Amino acid sequence: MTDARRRASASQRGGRAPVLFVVPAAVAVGFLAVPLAGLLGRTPWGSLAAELATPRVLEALRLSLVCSLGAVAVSVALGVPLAFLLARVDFPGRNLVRALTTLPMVLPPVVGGVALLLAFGRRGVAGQWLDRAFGITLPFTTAGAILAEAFVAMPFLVITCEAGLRAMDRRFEDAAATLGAGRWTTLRRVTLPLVAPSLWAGIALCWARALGEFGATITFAGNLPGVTQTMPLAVYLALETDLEAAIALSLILLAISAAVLVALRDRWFPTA
Amino acid sequence: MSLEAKVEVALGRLRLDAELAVATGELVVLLGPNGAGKTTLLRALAGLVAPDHGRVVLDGVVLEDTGAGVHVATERRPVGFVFQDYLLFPHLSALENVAFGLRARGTPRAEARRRAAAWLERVGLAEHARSRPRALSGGQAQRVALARALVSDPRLLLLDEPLAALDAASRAEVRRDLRRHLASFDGTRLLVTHDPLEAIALADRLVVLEGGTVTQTGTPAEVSARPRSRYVAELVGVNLFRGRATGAVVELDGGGVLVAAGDHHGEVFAAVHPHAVALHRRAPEGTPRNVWAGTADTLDIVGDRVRARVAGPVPIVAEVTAAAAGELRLADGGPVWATVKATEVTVYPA
Repeated sequence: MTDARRRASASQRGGRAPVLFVVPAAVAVGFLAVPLAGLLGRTPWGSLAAELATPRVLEALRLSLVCSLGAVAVSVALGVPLAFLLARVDFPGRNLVRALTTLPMVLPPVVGGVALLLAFGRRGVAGQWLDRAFGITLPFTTAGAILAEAFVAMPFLVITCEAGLRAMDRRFEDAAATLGAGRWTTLRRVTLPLVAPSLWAGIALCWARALGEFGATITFAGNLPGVTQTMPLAVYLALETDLEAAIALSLILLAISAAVLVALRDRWFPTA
Repeated sequence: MSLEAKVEVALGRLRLDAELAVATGELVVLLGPNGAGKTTLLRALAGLVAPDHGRVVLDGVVLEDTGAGVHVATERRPVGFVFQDYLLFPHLSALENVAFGLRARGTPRAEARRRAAAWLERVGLAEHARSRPRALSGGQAQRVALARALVSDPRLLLLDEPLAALDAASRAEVRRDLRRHLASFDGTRLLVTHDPLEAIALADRLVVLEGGTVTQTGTPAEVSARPRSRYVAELVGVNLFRGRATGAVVELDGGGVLVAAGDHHGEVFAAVHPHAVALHRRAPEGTPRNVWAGTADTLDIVGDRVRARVAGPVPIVAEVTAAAAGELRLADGGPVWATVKATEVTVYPA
């Protein structure tokens, strides 16, 4: 925290807790914290290492990494240019495009999965064509799982990246131009380095979202161990048969979420 | 003339329509109030703003000609730009900032770094080569910005309020430095400011820009001796009147008459320096040709002198010594007589 900020917050009024708010606030904190405590409390710490080493868990872990990183790669490759256009180019229908881009953030993931199935399924509009032209089928494949995760996670990258581009002082690009830098040099040496913090935050959010993706994946890609059964799916399945494996997998996901939160703390909670 | 520019551009509420010529090696200061279009004009010269109509020729090369559809992109213009808050790239060191332009124009890395280092040395910042911009003081940042703009040998150097980002304490020193560095660059230089001190200290020639148009050009001495607008008159602290002259008599547009020495005809400006205005508590006797009764309403202290605005048929600012102001009991208000000798009135065609 900077000195200026400390002064600013110190000069604000109050600090005395309104009693009326204390009780519901305490309930809220409990409500959010108790399940996590429950998870940690039930963790079989002694056999955790062995549990994590079972082929089933390792397989889900590997697949989750492959799919989530694949989804991040797709999101970066397509989402960063999209964010750039949304932030910089005033094209007709820009707000519509932005709304469409944001939609998967609020859409129930299962609905996303159904929509993907109708579009990219073997009988789907795009799926039919992909099948005929290239012999590519997406549903119930690892590529399909990547697609489902990217569908849900890409908006986080686009939104964060666009905000970063908008917040950037564009006169730095003017300065680069007066120094003889063309578009690409300016993009590579000035714009991207200046928005790098936003880009990384977007990537972290996108990855965390992809890693936890369940609804769209199971609907579009199914639940095939070793092919599309990522960690969240494995957790859900293991809950019925092998509670300890479910807990172990959940713990990994919890640890990753916490790590992302810590990595982004300065961005989200600058005045702790 | 090495830079000839005519720029017309409408941007928000600003209507800029300015013509400008700068000779090789000349340092022209563009002076004007905030919002006059100074920065926009500089940006148009650099190609960062596309004029609606205009033509910019630098050393015989056409950079902009809306009539012929010519617009040379900013990155292809041999123009260096020092921005108001310098805009040093925060993610690059001072050395990398200076080397940026060379690298962007294809100079090999090693040579770019060598030349950048030589420039940092030249502006006295060799030991700060590795510093990030945020670790530099305002004056140091300005010198890095200057080195960055000059390292690739531009033929035109544009500086937008290069001292505005500095605090008053360091400004004088940085201005001295800037003057020295600017003197060592033999290309064409155009500097924007709204600070008259800065303008007079740095300029070979002044161009006054007001409301998007050029209202006056000339050496600092010419401009301050014969202001042609209220803005300039206030900057240099001169009473400026406009009127119609017949012989020695000037009928003022605002009413009243001013008697000058000499013979003038037609629309004129008449300038009277405040220290040429004498104040009296009683109706004066003797030879002054211009006498007005009025009330001294506002007082301003400038050093050991007091400025009083005398409201009357011809509102005028007088400057008297603090002692005289005390004897006249100006602070008490009441009627005063202001007198000006005819020989103290400078009359020139409008």
